[in-house]
Amino acid sequence: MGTSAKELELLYRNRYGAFRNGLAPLCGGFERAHDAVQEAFARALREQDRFRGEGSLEGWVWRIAFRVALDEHRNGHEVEWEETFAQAVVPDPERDSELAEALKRLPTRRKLVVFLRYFADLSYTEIAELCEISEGTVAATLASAHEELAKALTREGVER
Amino acid sequence: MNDHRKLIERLEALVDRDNQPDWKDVVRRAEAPGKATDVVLARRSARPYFARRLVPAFVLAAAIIAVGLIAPWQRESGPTVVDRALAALGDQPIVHVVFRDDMVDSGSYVDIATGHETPIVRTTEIWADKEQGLEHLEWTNEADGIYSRVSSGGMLITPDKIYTSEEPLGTQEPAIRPTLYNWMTGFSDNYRSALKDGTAHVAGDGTVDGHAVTWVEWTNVHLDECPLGGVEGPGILSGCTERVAIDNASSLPLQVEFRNDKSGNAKTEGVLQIASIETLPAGGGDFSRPEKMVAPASAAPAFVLDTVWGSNGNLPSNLAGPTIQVAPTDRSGAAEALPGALWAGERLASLPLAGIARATASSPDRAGGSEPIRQTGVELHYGQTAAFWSETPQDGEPSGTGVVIHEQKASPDLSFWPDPSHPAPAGSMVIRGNRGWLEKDDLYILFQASSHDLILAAARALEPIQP
Repeated sequence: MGTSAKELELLYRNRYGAFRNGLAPLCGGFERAHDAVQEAFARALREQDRFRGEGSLEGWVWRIAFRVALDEHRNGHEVEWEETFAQAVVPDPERDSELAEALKRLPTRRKLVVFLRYFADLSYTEIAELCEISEGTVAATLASAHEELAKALTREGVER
Repeated sequence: MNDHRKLIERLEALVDRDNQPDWKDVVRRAEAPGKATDVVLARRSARPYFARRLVPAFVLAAAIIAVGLIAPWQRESGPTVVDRALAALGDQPIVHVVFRDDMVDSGSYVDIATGHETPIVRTTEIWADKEQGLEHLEWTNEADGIYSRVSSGGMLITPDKIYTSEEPLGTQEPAIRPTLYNWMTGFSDNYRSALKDGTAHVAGDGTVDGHAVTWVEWTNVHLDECPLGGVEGPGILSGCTERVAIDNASSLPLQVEFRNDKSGNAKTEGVLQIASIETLPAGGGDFSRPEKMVAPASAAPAFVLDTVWGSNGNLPSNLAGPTIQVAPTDRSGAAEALPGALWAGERLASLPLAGIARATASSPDRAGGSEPIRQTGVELHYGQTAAFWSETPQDGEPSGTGVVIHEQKASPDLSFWPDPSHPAPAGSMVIRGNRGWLEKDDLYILFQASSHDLILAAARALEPIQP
């Protein structure tokens, strides 16, 4: 199957920002996320023949990118990916500290979907593919996250 | 429907727009792994960077050394285990293998009165023609004595295109979607390659299903092709060893285990039973396109506590998801909300009735402007249930001891209800993991419980609510 350097380059140029923003909560900052994106695409470039077309090319690169970011988190220890997302935080919390705090308290699954939707700029379909859940579950989880965030912000009287 | 536009604007304002892509740096890193010049990389701790590269290299090197040191068959006189296994497999270009897939929990039909279980068993058949770049996978779920085919699907990969049956709604997700499983299709290649190139080594003797076997194993250098045994996630995988039981009598493989050996804590992540394996001459095998499946018509939305499940592709592109309103009620309220509603009494086993709720689910507005679908049902909570469902029911094993019973009249969304064209026989239900599904008295009933026994106890105890 495989893909080509051209396709990867096109994906990179179109979606670099989404990858960087999407990995930033895991890497702990935008700068480190940039490095993870570079590393992920480099790895994808080296292993392009192994893309088997079972899903989208972007989904495949996302998996590599998460693996790269996860390696950062492992620090020599075995870490489950959900556990990693449990620790994910808004990379630049001073932009909206109340919302950042509310996001931090979200249950892992909801936090994951929020980050994938708003930071990684992924569609419902793409999130469903990546997480191997249905689009309905994505929508439901996101709706629940919205409710919880809105409640948290209202409770603290900071919804603007 | 709640308007979260302001919230969404705030979420979108958290990301960084100051992006500076650098494709040349990507190419440099790809061409010279380990020599990245990126300034940020240089500031990082060296450990994870080198760990990423040295660990796979170390694993590979260790495997090679192990082969050299351990491989006893290389010192045998006459045909070795590996020789015999290769001979039994044959040397034709096409590999045809049939797996009994115990890695997927497809559930069981359970007789409610007796508790007798008939498991839904998955069989996966693969034809792989590496030279032509063709892979064909067909899977079937069957329940012995009940249905010869509960559900099925397939996929054909050609160098130019992928052909797939539609995802059969009504089957359990995500594990049994008809995608090509790397560890299955990969095995058909890996097994022969590992035997041929000497990376496989004998790891001991044993017994599988009464057959005396010799275990042969090798490290899969394609690290991200190790299965996770059905764990959800974005496919973040780690190194694994493939371990095959070769039947001493036939020299054919009977079982393959996938073990995660990373971090030195070996653990089996999945097991496949090999029902048959053979190689076929060029032009042989079945590489026909899989039969297209017709998706059922759009179903009504369903609810699970504060979560509405799916709407069969009718989700709008914006963020307006389905909504649900849940309100506490009592027996009278439940009977009024859902005429004919059932309950398990004031106590179920030793668990007190902790609460009753009335739930109304609404689908999103349809693109064509049609009215959203509304659905009303009831939920009954026994014992400790709050800890179960803080997220979605797919989040794994519940904690605490309790049961939640969800009831509604209309057929729930098929994405989480077992295949409606293969309902459980009269007096039976479907149980998978900590969930159970039952159609009774024109109600669709979903159980979520801390144990299999509690699901059965709840199903046995159901009777009409007396207001």
